[in-house]
Amino acid sequence: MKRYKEIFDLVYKEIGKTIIGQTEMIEHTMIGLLCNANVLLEGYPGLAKTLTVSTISNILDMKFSRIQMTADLMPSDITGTYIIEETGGARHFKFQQGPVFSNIVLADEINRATPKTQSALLEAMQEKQVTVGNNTFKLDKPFFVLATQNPIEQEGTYPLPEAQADRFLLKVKAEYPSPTDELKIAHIYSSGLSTGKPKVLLNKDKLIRLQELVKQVPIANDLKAKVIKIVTKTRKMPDIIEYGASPRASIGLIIAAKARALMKGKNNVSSEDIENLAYPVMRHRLILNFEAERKGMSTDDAIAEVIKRIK
Amino acid sequence: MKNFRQILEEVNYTISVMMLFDTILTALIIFLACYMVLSLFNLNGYYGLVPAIGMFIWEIIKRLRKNKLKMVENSYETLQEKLITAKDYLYAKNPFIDDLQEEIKESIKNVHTDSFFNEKKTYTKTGIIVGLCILMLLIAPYHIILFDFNKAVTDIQKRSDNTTDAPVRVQNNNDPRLVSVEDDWYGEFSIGSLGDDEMQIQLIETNYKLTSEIVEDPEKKKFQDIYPGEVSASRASAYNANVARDDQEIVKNYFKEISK
Repeated sequence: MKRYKEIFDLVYKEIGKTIIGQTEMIEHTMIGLLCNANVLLEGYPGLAKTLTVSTISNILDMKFSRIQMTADLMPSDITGTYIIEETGGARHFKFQQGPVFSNIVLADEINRATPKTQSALLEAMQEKQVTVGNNTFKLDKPFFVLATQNPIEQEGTYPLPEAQADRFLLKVKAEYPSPTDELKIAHIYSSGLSTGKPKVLLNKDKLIRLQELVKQVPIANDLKAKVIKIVTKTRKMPDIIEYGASPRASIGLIIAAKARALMKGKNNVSSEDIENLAYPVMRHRLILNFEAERKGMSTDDAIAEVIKRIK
Repeated sequence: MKNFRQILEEVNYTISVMMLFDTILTALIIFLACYMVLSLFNLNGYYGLVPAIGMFIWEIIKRLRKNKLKMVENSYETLQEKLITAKDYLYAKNPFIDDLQEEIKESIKNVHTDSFFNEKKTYTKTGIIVGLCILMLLIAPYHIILFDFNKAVTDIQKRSDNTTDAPVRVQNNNDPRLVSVEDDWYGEFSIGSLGDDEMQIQLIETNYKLTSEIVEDPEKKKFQDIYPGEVSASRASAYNANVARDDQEIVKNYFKEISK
């Protein structure tokens, strides 16, 4: 399985031409793609969230579209709409596909769109189809939504409802780069040095093949039990967590751990994969109680506490 | 080349045997310790088998439930979570599992049985067993009994028996001629009961050595030494007594009558 690691090492290398640092964000985004799932990237402005997604789309030979979410964006701007088309003097309605008809959809600043528009993505994210009027259109495979959001500047934003947040397999946090990385970034981008365009490494078929392989990665029953233990524990900690994660989190954590194992060139899932991915899989699925918030705890602190308690 | 299932079975068997050995040592320590303690209280030392067997069964059940593959994984970083995964997918077929099995086959070559053998623990247990045996041998000739539990139980039993069969006390206040008897008819009860006490007699062995080499022939005594040199007969003095004929007749008749 070492050859799969080599593939992903190459992917990281190509992405690294444009993105300096942010290895965890890149890794987790790639895991989302391997799981054929949606990923929510959260971070302060200027942390290369959008650049990461567009760079990833560059190395994948797939249709990519970007939607800049704003408060006045309408659902039809995403899904598409019927337009009147005139052919040979006859007029008829034709469906004009929206940007959602792509393989990779970047929903930039998703929390700026109204709930009505946000929910236009719901069906696409979960069912991989779009319904406009009376017609349902299947989306091309593979399909994933990579959304970004800003944790600050909450004025004029519409936080994602829990039901929609649950549709994202992972919520990836973009952290500030290390001083060394920041120096590199400043040097490259301030001197206009060409970072080189990333090469196309994966096409649809290859990606779908990898997604199939992810499902075959073996995971011990004990580790599956551990996943269930972690997820169910979040529902049994009323001292800090008000609402725990759903069974969707258990499924997501197992599949994401399998994808990580594949990317690392391992033949099986390990505890380390599970513990590493427990954070992005669950951080948007937990609601802390008042006491925890009063103490200044974050969802990551709560997850760390869950892992500590089950050990 | 062994198949993968056989490898897992072999790992399981080896660890189980080591666990069994360790459990036997622990059970033996418990038996010897209990035997010694019970002997000090004059109780049958073989009662010590009960806790030892109990502990043995409990420990074996507990250890049988342990996942031996996990024990191997804990000792070998390279096998971490691989053995249990391979066991769960023993009959599945896919490229990952084939690779995993091959990887384990390679890694298991570096697994040494002695890494599961806690040398220090085993030596300590063996030392304790030897120490207890020596201690028992040393104190055996002195017959040290800290507290005779058997005797104490017998005493308590006797006392309770005596209390229930308390002697009848007679008290007669109506007849002034009779002296009223307040006490036991047979005197002081405690003194009376002394006669029934069982005597504890213990025959202490003494060393007795019989060596056939130093046994000599019995002393020979010549017949002449014990036989009188001269043998002669003499008349009894009563023969010459001058007893009247009538008296002789009376005596004769007397004996005749008796003999009838």
